[in-house]
Amino acid sequence: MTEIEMTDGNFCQVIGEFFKKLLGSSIVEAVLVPQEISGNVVQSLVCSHEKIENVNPLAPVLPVNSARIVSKLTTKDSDQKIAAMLRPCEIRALVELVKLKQAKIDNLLIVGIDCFGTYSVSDYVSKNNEHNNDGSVTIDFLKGIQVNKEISEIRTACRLCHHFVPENSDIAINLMGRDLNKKIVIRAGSDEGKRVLEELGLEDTPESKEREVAVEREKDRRRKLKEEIEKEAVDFLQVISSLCINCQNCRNVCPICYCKQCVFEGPISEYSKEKYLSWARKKGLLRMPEDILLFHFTRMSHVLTSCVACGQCEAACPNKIPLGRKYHRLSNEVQKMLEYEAGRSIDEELPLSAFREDELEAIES
Amino acid sequence: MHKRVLVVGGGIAGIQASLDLAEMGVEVFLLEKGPSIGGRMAQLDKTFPTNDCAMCILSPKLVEAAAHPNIKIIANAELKSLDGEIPNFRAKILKKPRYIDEEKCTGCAICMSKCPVKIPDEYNKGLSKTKCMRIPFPQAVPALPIMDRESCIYHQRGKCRICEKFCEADAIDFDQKEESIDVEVGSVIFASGSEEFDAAIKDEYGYKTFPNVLTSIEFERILSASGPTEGHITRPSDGKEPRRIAFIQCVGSRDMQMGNEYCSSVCCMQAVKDSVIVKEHLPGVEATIFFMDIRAFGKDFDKFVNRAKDDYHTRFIRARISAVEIDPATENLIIQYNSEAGSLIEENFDLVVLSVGLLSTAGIRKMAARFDIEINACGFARTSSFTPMTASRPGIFIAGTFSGPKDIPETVMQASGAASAAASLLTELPIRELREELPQEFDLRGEQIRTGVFVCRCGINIAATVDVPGVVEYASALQGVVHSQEFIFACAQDSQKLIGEKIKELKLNRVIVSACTPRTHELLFQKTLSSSGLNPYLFEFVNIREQCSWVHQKEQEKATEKAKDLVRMAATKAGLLEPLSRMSLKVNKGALIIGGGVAGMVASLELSTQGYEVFLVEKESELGGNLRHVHYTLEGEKTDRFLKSLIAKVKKDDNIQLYIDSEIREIMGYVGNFHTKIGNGKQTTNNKPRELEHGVVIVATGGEEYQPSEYLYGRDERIITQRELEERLTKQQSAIDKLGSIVMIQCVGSRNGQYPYCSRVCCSQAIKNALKLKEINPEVNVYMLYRDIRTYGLKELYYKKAREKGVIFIRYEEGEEPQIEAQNSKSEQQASNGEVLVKAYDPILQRNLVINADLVVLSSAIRARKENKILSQMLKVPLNADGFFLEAHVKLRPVDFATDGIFVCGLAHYPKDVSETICQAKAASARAVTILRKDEIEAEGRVSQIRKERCSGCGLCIEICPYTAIELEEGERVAIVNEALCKGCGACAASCRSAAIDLKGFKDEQILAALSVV
Repeated sequence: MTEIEMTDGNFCQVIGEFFKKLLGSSIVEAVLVPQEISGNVVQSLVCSHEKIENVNPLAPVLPVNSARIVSKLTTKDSDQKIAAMLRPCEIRALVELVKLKQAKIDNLLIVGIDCFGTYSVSDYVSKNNEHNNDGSVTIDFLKGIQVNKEISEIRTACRLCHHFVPENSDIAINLMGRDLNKKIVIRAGSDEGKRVLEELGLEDTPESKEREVAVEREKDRRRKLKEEIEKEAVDFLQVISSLCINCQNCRNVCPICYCKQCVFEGPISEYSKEKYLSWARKKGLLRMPEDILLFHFTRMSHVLTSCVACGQCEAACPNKIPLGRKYHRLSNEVQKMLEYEAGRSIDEELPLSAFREDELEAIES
Repeated sequence: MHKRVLVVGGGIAGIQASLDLAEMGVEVFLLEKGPSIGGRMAQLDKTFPTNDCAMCILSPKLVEAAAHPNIKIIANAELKSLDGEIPNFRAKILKKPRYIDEEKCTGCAICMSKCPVKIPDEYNKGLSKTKCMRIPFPQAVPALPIMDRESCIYHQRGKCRICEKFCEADAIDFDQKEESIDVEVGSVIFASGSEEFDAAIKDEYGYKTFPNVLTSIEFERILSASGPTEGHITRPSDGKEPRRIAFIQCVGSRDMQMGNEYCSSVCCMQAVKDSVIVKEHLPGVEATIFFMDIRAFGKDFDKFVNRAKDDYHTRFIRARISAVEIDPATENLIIQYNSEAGSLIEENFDLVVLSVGLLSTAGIRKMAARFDIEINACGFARTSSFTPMTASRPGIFIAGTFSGPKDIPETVMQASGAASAAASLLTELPIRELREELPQEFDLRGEQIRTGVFVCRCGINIAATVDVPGVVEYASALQGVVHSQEFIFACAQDSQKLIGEKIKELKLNRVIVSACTPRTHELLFQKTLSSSGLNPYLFEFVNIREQCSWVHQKEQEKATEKAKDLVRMAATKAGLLEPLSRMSLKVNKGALIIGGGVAGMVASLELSTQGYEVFLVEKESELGGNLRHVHYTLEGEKTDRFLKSLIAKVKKDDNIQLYIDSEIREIMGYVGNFHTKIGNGKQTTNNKPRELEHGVVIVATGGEEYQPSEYLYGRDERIITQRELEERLTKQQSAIDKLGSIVMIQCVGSRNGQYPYCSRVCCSQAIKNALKLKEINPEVNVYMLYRDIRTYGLKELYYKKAREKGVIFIRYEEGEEPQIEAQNSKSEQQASNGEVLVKAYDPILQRNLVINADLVVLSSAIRARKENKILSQMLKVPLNADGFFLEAHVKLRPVDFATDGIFVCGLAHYPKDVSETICQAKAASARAVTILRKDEIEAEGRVSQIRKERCSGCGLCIEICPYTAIELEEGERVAIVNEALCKGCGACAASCRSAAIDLKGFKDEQILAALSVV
């Protein structure tokens, strides 16, 4: 564990310094870090360290799940090492993509960070606008978190999330259990991370008690939030039937949907007029477009085993269908049944490719 | 002269031997005394323990034998004489007249329909009538009629000739004479079978006197859909459905009065199977089996018996029935029996089935004598445990029940083994090279779709439920269909011929058959397409038997409607079918044999003799496996000498590369092209290559003795296993001399909840050792505590001998296992002076017994090796629930795996004795040679195909493929299919999220097109 003292209370700048150091050390060729760009914070791939100006990994916003970006950067073979600053749900999605051979981490240094949740992009941008983009939204948010203030605008997926501490990262930035005004802590999460910290001349010190307590406290808080949300009953089928416009945005932003071309862009959804009519005749009416439920069920069957419940599908839905909540529940149930947890470990075999004689006993009986 | 073998007898034994030889490049003359090949199996309804329909699995073999260019079937013929010796036998065959010109006859059977004379139908055991001019049964091969001269009006009275009038082929020949055929062959296999016991001899059972007493074979015919009652179970006296059926076991078997002391091996399972089938036909029926011991000694047999008991409520009553009486008023049958407790019970049955044994007759004995084949005391061909298919006369081999009663898989194994043995004699002779000349395929480019639809009635199997003419008419109006018609049996040879003719005549370019299942019959029709110039993949199979007539038996209209829907879907899909080609692949001529026990060594020598290189891998430091612990057989043969000479032969064989102290690390590749890595052994074999290339794999990894945890084993030195007893009997007889009382406990670790299987050999082994004990010291008391004595076949003679020698047999029930108390623990000084008390409940005496034993011998189970799991994963072949390797088909493919090029033999497959192990090892070699002798083999045509543009290279298909046929192409990051390995199972296509995998013949657009019309 390396403790970096805050000199002026600007932790963004401290983290920025860390990445500058990383780039300067020539351990990595480039870093993928969230930076402020006209009112929003988005991932940027930075090669020159003077361009690390507006790093803000703590801004409570997640425009895309960066596992998709890492996938783009790493699937084709490449010797150049890069570092990527990722939130826990992004790392977990990345773990799944690695198992699905859609990303590689051989030459990737994963820098993880504790996540206190995020606003939707539109909420974040409008709050930022209200404060003239002065960075106070992030600071207020973190201050609020520190004093246990409830922030109701946080996305449902984040409120349901119980994976807010980064696992499977090479280097982890610890925020919980710290006085963010005084210092932040950087720890090595792997041998590679240890080596990098050593090379940067940063010392590794043991985990603190305060952090453990803080993590437990945060878990409690989320559990309560989750229970609250689960009280609201949603008839998912009805919501889809009435609200879905088949824009398939959910598919486009999902980090797990990795097909080059979706099956729904193939012959499976092409029918003759007579076919539509015959269906309509059978029931008297046919909801159009007709394959919305088929689309959602197909997508579920494809992604539930690897879904990390990052909620990007819900964020992308123009009609605010509570997809994140649904996927959170279903993926938890499915993964529990298969004794699998998406994003937990690179070594855990994907349920579809592993065969165990004793699996699915719940279904058999 | 090239390799030639005569096979005498066209039952399943003769057919299997012929097919194996033919595939080994040997020309075969298959001689059958009846008018059709098929034997007794053709008369069975279902087969145990899987309840597969006997005819459904046999019929493709009949057709294959008929179609094989290396096999010449000579039916309705007899072997008259056999002179000469290896490899120059001269056989004189007498072919009896059919009164049909076989060249001209089309098998249309019009003669049969017009013949005015009805005679009892032999195929149905006389329970129904057929014509004097008849085709013996619908699937008969050759599919030709035969005339019964004795009943023919013209032959007897000089008038009639109606058949001749109607025969358009001008094929009737009333003056046909016997024909003598001389053939020269290198070797002969006798698969001439056995006869059923004539139940009328045991008149106390009332067979032929009381109408409702049937034999088991007659009952098979009654159960069969093609039988006299068309599968309706009725009793002969009044045609009513029986409600209570009794099966009486051991009729003519285990019967000293009749002089048939042996056990017929198959009747127990046959009766259990029939009790299950009858219950499926008539849910209210109650089936009762009267038996002495239930001999469910085969693979998964006990599980089947348990199912009959638990799920079908078959009653099992242990009683020898002395007589069957009749109630004249109802023609019901009265059976009196003694319960085990001793009380006399009388029960009333509607139908009694006599489980008749298999036996050798005077005729069989005479025939054997004529050809210098020695027979044993029971009248069966004499063989030894070490050469179980070799007859006394050199160059002659035995297969099937001619050498003793056995079930179908045992018969098939012996037949394949005999084929291997016969081929091994003829290694000097060249093979008969035959290339099946297929006509040039039609060029379909620019052709309109012209579909032919053929709908099968399957006798009544389909036609009784589905309106077949209605389906034919409906099909004729479908788009692209230019011809539609029905067949009584689409699989019959004449139907195949007709489909071929229609293809040519009407220029059909798509063929649809609506019949049973593609699983058994698709290949047959595809061959017909190929030989008619049509690509075999322009074919659609519609299963209207299982999917219509069977599942909708009670809703005939719906069944017909569904059949029409399915035909419409097929016709729509057929229009999108494309011609597919099959890849051919080279075959490496080496064989990997895993396991250096008897099975592995016998297989190695067999393959080496036939000229193939063998890599024999043994994990231990010496060869011999489990046989090292067996010193003599039940029949008294010395195994030590046999094993020693076997090891010596293997060691000095130049074709056999021996790897001892070695294990398999990795097996990659596929049939014809395996690559194997052998793990480091000791220095002795270090100079040999560790990476091997070979074409086939034989798994002969054996089994192991169960180390009992029960009965104080391991805690008291007076409790030992049979294997330990056998060691002592051979090596320390003096210690045995002093013993006064020995108790043997059977089924230790077998037939229990966790391990429900029977270890098969322990009863014989116990009796063998009991007899040895009595031989050493006739005064010794030997008690055997057993559940059922399973000395099947001729082993029964030794059970009788043991009883005669005074071995005392006491039965115990499951759940009432004997209890053991050791008075002195072994830690005390004079342990052997103390007593071991064995307590058991005797169900006949109805009381507890206490036996003072000096020694307790446990007949401990044979277990599958734990390592089987690793090897099965490497080879990607399955294990059964008990951990033994699971063959491709328990009846007809007992040494094959579903994966080509991999075979199994010995204890790795299931517990068996040395003779059965040798049989199976030779069978595995025969099957291996059918691959090794070819330079190239053809792969499947319906294989997976990757649409690269859609493939994301996620690799799920690679993990899912059961045949390791898919790899990831690293550069492009897409999956690629090895067509040689792909079996077209479609698992990859179904699992691909991106719809990037098409299974040729089942492409998305083809399936969606079929779906779009329903």
